[in-house]
Amino acid sequence: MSGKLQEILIVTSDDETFTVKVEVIQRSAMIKAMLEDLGEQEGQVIPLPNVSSSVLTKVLEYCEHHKNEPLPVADANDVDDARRRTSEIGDWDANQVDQEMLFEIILAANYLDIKPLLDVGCKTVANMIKGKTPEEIRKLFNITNDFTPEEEEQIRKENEWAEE
Amino acid sequence: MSSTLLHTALQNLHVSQRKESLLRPSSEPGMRRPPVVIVEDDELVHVGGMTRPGTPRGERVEKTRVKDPLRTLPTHLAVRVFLQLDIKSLARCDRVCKRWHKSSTLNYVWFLQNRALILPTTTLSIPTRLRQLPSTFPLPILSSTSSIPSSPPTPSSNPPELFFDPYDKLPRLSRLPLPPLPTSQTPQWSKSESKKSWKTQFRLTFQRPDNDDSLKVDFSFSRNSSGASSPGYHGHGYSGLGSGNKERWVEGSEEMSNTERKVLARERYKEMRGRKSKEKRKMGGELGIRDKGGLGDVSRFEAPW
Repeated sequence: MSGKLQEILIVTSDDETFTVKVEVIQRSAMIKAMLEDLGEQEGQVIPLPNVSSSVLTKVLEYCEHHKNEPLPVADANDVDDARRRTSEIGDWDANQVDQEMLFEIILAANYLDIKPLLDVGCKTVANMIKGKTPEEIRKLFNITNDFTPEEEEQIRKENEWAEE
Repeated sequence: MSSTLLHTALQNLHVSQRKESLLRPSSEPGMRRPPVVIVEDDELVHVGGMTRPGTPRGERVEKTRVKDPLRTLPTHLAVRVFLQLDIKSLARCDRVCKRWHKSSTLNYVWFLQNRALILPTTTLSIPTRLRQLPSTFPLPILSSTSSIPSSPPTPSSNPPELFFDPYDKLPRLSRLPLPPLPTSQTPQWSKSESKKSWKTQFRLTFQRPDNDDSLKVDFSFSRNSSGASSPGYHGHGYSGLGSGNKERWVEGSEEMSNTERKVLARERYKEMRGRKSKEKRKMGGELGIRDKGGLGDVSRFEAPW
């Protein structure tokens, strides 16, 4: 993006309008590509029918906080992978949102194509599951146990090998 | 990955076909390769075809606030999440509820985990790997029946390894590297692969019992074999696309002298006894005819090719 275009308008699913700096929102590969396609006009309006205002607020917070980091290279799977492996969840990123919001953010990050945010989101969910017993996982995600005690015992035995 | 394999296989086929047509004069119609029939089971299929994948978003929010990630997230995102888990946690997910137990998303994650065992990513430079080998190579003769070690006697000086060493007799689940993210959002596995229990397969691969049979099972995924799910199927010797032509593939790719080729061709003609090769393939060769004799013939399923 050249210096010409400074701000765009984003309309969320609940019809709220956000004025967003291009510098911030271009973390979203989807919007970045969109702006390149549409050409640079001041006051460009982009509707995001898949994203609610509360989620967009969080996403923008993330983008704002990370705006000085280099943009991820498009389609660089190796780099992508290396980061996924090595990077821990940053202090800022941790504990920003509750669980329901977390899923919404993952979906939005996927839709808007913000890879680092998607990674952080997925990693956060994985960390929630890690090291928990099945009962704790059920509690975490509000899942009912529909196994009979016999079935449960059988599967537990089947999986004993993994309990090192 | 399997698609890449298939792709390479098809490419090879293409190349060897071209070579063949270059090598063989067109006056040998009998030598033409029979058309490759792609078995239905080798089709690439989606993960979670049976479960509801993407509920429209509005509906999702209103409905009793489902927090289950397997239901809330579309397949490729759920795969991203569950691929981050260590094996122990992944195995525990299996015990959460019936939906998770039979989830094809989780099965796909196991599939990727299994593949990462067999095709480890080479993130480490080779010298490092060589340097580590001696210390992780404990008396392979003594531990003939390998299983998960109950007490891990790993020396603490060992740095955590980032690869699965197939010669390491005492591998640790917790030390396994994360498998790479699939390059495609659409899962790449065949129909037969999607029906297999990859958790079980992962265990087999990981524990590597020292007999050849299980080795066959280990690698069956790469050949799109549909046999591994039922044990009795192994005797067939049929291992998927192209196996029937195996010798020909090899021959086609080798540089042969004219006389060698002639001798080979003569032998093949002899085998065919005047019939065209197309028929031969279709009926499974010689036995196809005998097959009509019917039930009494026990040997008829023993690898006619």
